[in-house]
Amino acid sequence: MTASRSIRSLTQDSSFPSFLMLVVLVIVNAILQPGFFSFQVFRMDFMTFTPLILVSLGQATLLLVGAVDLSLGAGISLVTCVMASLMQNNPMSIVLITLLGIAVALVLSLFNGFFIATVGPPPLIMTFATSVVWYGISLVLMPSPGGHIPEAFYGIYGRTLGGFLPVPVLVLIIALAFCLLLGRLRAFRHLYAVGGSERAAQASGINLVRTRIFAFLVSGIFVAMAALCVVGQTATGDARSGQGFTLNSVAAAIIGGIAFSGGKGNFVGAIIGGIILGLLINIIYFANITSFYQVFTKGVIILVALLIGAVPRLRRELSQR
Amino acid sequence: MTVLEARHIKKSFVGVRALSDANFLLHEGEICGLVGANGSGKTTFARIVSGLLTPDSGELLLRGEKVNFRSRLDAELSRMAMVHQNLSLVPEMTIWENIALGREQTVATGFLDNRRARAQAEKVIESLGISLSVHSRVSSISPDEKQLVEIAKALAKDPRILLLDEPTASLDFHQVEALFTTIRALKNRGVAIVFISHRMWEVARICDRLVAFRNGETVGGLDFSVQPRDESLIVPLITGQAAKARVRKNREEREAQISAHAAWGPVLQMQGVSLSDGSLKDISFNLRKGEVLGLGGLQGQGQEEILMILAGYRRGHTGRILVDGKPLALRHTRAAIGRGIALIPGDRQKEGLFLEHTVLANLLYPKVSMHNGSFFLPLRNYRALAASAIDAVSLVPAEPKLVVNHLSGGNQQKVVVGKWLSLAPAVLLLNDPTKGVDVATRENIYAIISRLTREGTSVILYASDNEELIDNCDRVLIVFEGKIVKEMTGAEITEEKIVVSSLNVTHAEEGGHAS
Amino acid sequence: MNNRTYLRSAALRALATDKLTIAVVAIVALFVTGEIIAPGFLSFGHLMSVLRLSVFLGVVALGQSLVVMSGGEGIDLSVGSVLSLGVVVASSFLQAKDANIVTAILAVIAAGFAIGMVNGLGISYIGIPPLIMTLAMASVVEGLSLLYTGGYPSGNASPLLETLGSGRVIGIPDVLLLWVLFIVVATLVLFRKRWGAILFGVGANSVTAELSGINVKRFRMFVYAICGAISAFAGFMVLGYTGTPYLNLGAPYVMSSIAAVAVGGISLAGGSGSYLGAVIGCILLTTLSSILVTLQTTEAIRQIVYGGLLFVIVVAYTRRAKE
Repeated sequence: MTASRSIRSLTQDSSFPSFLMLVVLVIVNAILQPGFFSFQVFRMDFMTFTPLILVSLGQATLLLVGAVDLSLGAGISLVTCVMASLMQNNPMSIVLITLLGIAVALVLSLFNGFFIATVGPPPLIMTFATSVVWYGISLVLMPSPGGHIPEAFYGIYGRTLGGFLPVPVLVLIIALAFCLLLGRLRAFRHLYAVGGSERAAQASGINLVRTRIFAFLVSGIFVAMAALCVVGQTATGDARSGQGFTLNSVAAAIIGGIAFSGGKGNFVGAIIGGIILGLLINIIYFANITSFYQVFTKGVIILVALLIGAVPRLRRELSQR
Repeated sequence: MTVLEARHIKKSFVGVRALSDANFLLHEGEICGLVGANGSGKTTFARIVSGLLTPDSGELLLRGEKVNFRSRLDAELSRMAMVHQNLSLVPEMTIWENIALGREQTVATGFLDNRRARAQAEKVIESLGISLSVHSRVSSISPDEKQLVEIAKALAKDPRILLLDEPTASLDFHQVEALFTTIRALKNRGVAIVFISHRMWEVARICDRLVAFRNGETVGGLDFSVQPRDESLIVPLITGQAAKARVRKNREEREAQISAHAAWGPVLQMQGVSLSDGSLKDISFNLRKGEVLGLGGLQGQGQEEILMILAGYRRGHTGRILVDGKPLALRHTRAAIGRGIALIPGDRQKEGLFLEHTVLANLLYPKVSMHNGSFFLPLRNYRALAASAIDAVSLVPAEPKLVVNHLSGGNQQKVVVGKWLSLAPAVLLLNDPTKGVDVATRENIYAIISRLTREGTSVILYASDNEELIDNCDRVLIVFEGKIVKEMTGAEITEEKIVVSSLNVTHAEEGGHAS
Repeated sequence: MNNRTYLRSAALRALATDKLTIAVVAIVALFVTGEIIAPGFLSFGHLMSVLRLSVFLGVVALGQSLVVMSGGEGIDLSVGSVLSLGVVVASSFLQAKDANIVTAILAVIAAGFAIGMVNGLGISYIGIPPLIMTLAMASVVEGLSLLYTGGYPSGNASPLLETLGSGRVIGIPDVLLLWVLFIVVATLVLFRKRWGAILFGVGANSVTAELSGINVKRFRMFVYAICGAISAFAGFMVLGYTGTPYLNLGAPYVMSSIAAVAVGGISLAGGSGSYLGAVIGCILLTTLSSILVTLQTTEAIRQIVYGGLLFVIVVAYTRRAKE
């Protein structure tokens, strides 16, 4: 009885369609890319996927509570510029500037969160405005890509621990553990309530402001992790490095089953969505599509992915009419 | 022992005086009713007592001590729980998550104690006598089940004071009975209960005492330990007028009216209509011109589906529908409206109104929707139509530029009804039109319906309150599990017959629990 | 106080704190600031230049306004790439010949309408959130532009178009007059025609609208189609201004059009507002950019100031709404 119920609830879970898509994409990737299942490729893939997955987790948290943050990408760029312009070759500096980078990511996120939670402007436009400001500040710090990140720092990102665990994968495992922890917190349950029905949450005595700021805090943590990965991967400060992340993170979360209206979806879906997007980018690269049409193909594939994701809901609606 | 006392509470909103002098007394282990028309201040008062609002002046005493509730949490600490009129459940969360919402308990490490929450939810759901899995999502259960979960949520707080605001609005009498049993059990345990309702017969049955509000002040009360449990004593307190002798439909006059239209033939016919998901099975009936046909029975047996299909909103049915003898393919609401079929939906705020728009805009929308002709909208013409609609429904205040959101519930419902008047519908479909609406507005709406039927409009009325069916219908069809199980005409329509048919008690094994 | 007096005083109070009033005041303040920083800013000629720049944003904002007003969290992030497509389609049909103007206009509108239909289908009938659908379409349309031109946009604006695009009549730019025409037509349609009244209802509550006989899905789909057509036409107008076609001319218009709509008091939830509000929003944003250019600051400072001011405007507006 419980076994069949859990299987049924699995297939009805909001992230199930995306899981299927994931399986298909893995197969396609394996066909297109030689040695897809080799450790080398696995490691390289995760070096690129990890930051995207992390940002998607952050965006997913915000979408759950009914908000969105279009400044995540610009925030990451700003952190890379801050770190690359300040970090020096000694261990003290590395540690301090890393902490500073994390702090900056948190501050940026909480800044957005504070206003959205207390004053309540539409998150879409407000975070677009702050993204422009973050971009401007990045340009002030780093008018053109450059800066300096010591090998002691970025080397970590490329390393493999114990011969089998690449650091990016370790980061993801830590993020996963963090997600599991979050799921057991009262504040996290309140996220779903506020995103699902603000009125109901309020009537149940939930503090809307506190819950929303909590969501932005969590998002900030994910973005901080992502920024560190990007610095580790590129070893440069670049005001444009984060550009792709913003919209990709939204797409990844939606593909992963997070409802745009809030209150529905889970972290697993966001992770799957992030991996799917990463695989898509891979496919586009390995299918030898010229850079010309890469943007076009990505758009088409995202549309197809969304269509597939909408099928179960459509089927339900059609049977009712 | 006096558990709660309110003295001279005043509360105003922007330009509206909700409460001018509210007084209230509640004792331990008693059920006190709170009655009054829409706009009398009942709900505002309840929200003040539960801490959602702060009064402008006056005193609130809890167990003898003066209180100043700053937020809901303070109210919770004093062991008070309120069941809301508009549900406070999160649709995508499960029942147990909703019941625990806002008071989640944690284990030592600070993480959620889900096991305890689930167990507690199961216990309280069971105590209400309903069989629902606490793992179901709230979005998947029916409105009456949602109301019961709402009540369960309040009960789970183990309150010493319980405020129930229209707790039976969506429930059928079956469920109401179960609820009353629970309430009586609570009373015996010393819990003090405030029962706010428009349903006079329920108030007269369950309450020990009642307090009446009118125009924001307490105007009187009844004590059922010394006075008879008679609804006719309550109504004058609410309306401030001498009890009107209940005007029962003059059946012969009604029959005469309908016979006069008989030459017309049936206005509407449903023949063998079924829905693929089984919610309707082989529905067949005729609707005569000028008649009021009632749909009765327990909640959710298919009555709403019948209305939705006729309105053209729900599609995919098999069987035939004929209007004036001609088959009609109801592919969209537009087709229905084009043939004169109009629906007054069940949830006025979600389905019947544009809350942020003016009365004028709301009243004219169907007319604009069906507009076919002049290049620009004939605004002067339309304004006149709106004015006559406002007049016809006795809208208060009679101001077309008011935003609908600022009207009381009853007046909002008048707008929902009024917007169809300018289209002169041939068939009016009513989905529980007086749910959560005060007595005065109810009489108002039925007076309009009565006038319309005299002019030849036919009405199909679904009401969850049997009294409404008895008072207003010429014929009643009882629906049970998607089938029509009984048809009653004229004098046959009685409370007892309705109840018996609703339960479809035809076999001995049913147990025959008629009421 | 009876209802009428109450309503009148409430209306006056609302006017004072009204978003539009604030926006107009802000525009005046910006112009005064501009004059202080760079004398001659307030000259008629310069004013007209700024207004001319607002026109293109204004036309795009019309489509965006309609989409937002239609409700269902309506938004169109593909307006920029549709504009860009409009530019290259127009130029390739015109081939610098006046005779081709009519065909060019028809082709441009048809292309934009078709793309908008696709948006509308995905959003209305398949149920993809507007933000995502139009976002994905933006990439697709950008690719379509590349496909269509092979990377090298062909053709040129025709002489008549160029004259109209950069010319003036008694000192007033031609395109500005065209914009005024658009504004008049749009306002008439919104408030005097059936279509406009239906739009407001659909945006306010789609179920109520459906029960009143409106096919909401089909209506919303056409709103997106119309937005696409309008955005493409804006591209046609932009070509008249630049003369030579370039790729990606539409990119800066996307977020600005949304900002203009929000600043103009049109609720992002739908069901209310007026195109006039978006018009004022466009003028405000364009004036702002113009001042920043006048100040000859670096791109970095320009971004910070533009973003910062937009932030303040957005936050300030919602504060008003709460009161």
